[in-house]
Amino acid sequence: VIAFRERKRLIACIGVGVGLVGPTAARADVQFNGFGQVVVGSALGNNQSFPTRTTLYAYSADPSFENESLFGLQAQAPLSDSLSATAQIVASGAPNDLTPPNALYNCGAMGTSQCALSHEDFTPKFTWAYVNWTINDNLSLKAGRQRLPLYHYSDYLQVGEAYPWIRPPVSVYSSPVSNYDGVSLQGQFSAGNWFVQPQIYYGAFDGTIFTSAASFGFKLQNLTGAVFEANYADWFDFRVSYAFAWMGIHGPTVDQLTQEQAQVADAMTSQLSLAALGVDGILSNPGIQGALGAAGYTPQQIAGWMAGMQGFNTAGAAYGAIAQDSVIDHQFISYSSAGIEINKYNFVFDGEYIYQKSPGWVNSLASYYVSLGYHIGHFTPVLTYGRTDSRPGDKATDARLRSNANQAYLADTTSTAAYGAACAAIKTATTQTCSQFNAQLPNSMDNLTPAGTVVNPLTGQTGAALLYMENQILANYSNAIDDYYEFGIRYDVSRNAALKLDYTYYASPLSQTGPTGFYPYQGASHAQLLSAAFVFTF
Amino acid sequence: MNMKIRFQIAGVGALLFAGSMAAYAAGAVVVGKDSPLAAMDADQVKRVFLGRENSINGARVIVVYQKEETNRTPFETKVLGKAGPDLSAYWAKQIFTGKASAPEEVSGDAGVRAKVTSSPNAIGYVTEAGVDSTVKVIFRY
Repeated sequence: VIAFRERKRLIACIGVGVGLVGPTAARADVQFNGFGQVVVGSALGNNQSFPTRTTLYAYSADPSFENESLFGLQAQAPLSDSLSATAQIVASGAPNDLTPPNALYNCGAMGTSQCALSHEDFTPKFTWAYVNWTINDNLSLKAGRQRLPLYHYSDYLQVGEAYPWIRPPVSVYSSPVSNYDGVSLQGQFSAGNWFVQPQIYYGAFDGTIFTSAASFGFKLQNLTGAVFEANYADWFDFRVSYAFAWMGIHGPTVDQLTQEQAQVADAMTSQLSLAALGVDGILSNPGIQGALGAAGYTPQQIAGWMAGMQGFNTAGAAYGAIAQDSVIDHQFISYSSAGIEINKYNFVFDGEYIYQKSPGWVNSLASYYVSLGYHIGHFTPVLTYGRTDSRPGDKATDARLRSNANQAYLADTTSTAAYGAACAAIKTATTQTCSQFNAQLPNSMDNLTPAGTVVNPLTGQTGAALLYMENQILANYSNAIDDYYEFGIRYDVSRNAALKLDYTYYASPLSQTGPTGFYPYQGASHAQLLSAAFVFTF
Repeated sequence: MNMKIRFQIAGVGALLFAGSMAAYAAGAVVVGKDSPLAAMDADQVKRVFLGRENSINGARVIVVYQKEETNRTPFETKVLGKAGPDLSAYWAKQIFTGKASAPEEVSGDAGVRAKVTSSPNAIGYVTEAGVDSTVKVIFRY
């Protein structure tokens, strides 16, 4: 009797512990289910990380266990005949932040060797936490934190037991947003051999997301979506979905980018140009002109430097425009998808097409995959091909960004060169430096610390760093094609456990170059990933 | 050489095919003797056991699976059309997306009889030999 009472108390404690149930806990039968996977992967070949642009994983040649390994526990507590509460907690080792040498730099395109990745370290997080109301046999309403059902496998991306691959095809499954907080209405209807599951949902996402390119704050407001899934005789499955929201990007990286650009723009247009004009003033001084002439400099050269330094104004204006275009706040984004799954004669065919229409410089994605597997006893070999086609979300914004970046770069280069040449000449002719002259001016060059003066980690050069970074953003979020060729095999060890092996070859046939004069985009043109997994449910 | 490889592959295929055609033991879907639940057709049994139909005549049904492979495999293969890891994958999807709760699992025919006789809305399956006077057969496979 005592033991029995103790057990009840334990169940109640666990129930309360996961925040599920109140006074009814002791009599409620809390159901626990779990899932997990241990995944090890290594990017083969040269030090190319896998892959560069579109996924959340960042494998290098050193085998990693933590990127995709995870453990999940779900507790479901009935509250009444029609009400229940569910919480799902997942502990994963997934990368969650990127610490490049300079926080401004975009690591994705450079390969993660340039950047330090930090991981979740298996800190448990709620992936689902909702109350379910079974309205009747056909309808149920969920309120709380739920998985965002953008595409076919989005709902159970982390439940490796439920699909043949080690990871659902990355060409489509690369969205860094996986949850939302809100309500959903789900239906289920049977008619003959058909089983139909429509769903509508409404909510919001506000959190920090991590991609292979950057980590930043991300918002989806008034997120609204609908899913329609139909299954025929358990072998044919058809799914379409549509969702839209108003997105915003905020947080260190993008804010910093925007702020720095605005600062540089300000410095260029006002202070820097004044400083240049200070040199301009020095150059206009008849005594200095005489000294320069005596030193062998022609009036044409002097006029040339003065004209060249006017470029600071042009660059400043261009930086300002870039800063404006970098802001994504409350802009419309939509996600559409259509997919089929066929299980017949031991064959498993899976195909899905998705389209993400994005605002501004954020890339729109037209992606798909096709996958064919065959059950041979406990083995299921699977071949998969997938493609991600990224295009600028808004062509006009993208074109403007490119044009301004190019203009800023050229004007900055020209005027910096003119300033340098003028100062060198002044020093030769007068033995005084520009700094010494400028020190007497209120807006001297030396009193300025333009935010853009940082070191390019690739070249070690100072200056034009913002442009470099801008170029990375432009390269990352513009025309790109990523192809994935994959061969995997699943071996069912038992009813609830499986071993999986996977080889993926990644290629990016469309090479990227930045605007004229910039560092060309040096993204990986190909990479390989070999991974193995043990997946289970309990 | 080619011929030989093709022949071997065909051989493996035939073997697997033979395996899947093995005759499975007959069994019965049962409810308690006094249960209000009545005879069902194959489609309805399947819907109920896959968690797609959760109540019958307004009463919520409790589905009971067996733990032992020898008893569950014939039922899963013949009635549900998916067995073993396939069925686990199906349930993993249902459970972890909140679409259905995991079915209860009991031990052997005796476990099923104990459950269905104590809960009027419980439904389970037993082997042919497991049918006795305490249960009502609502479907045979």
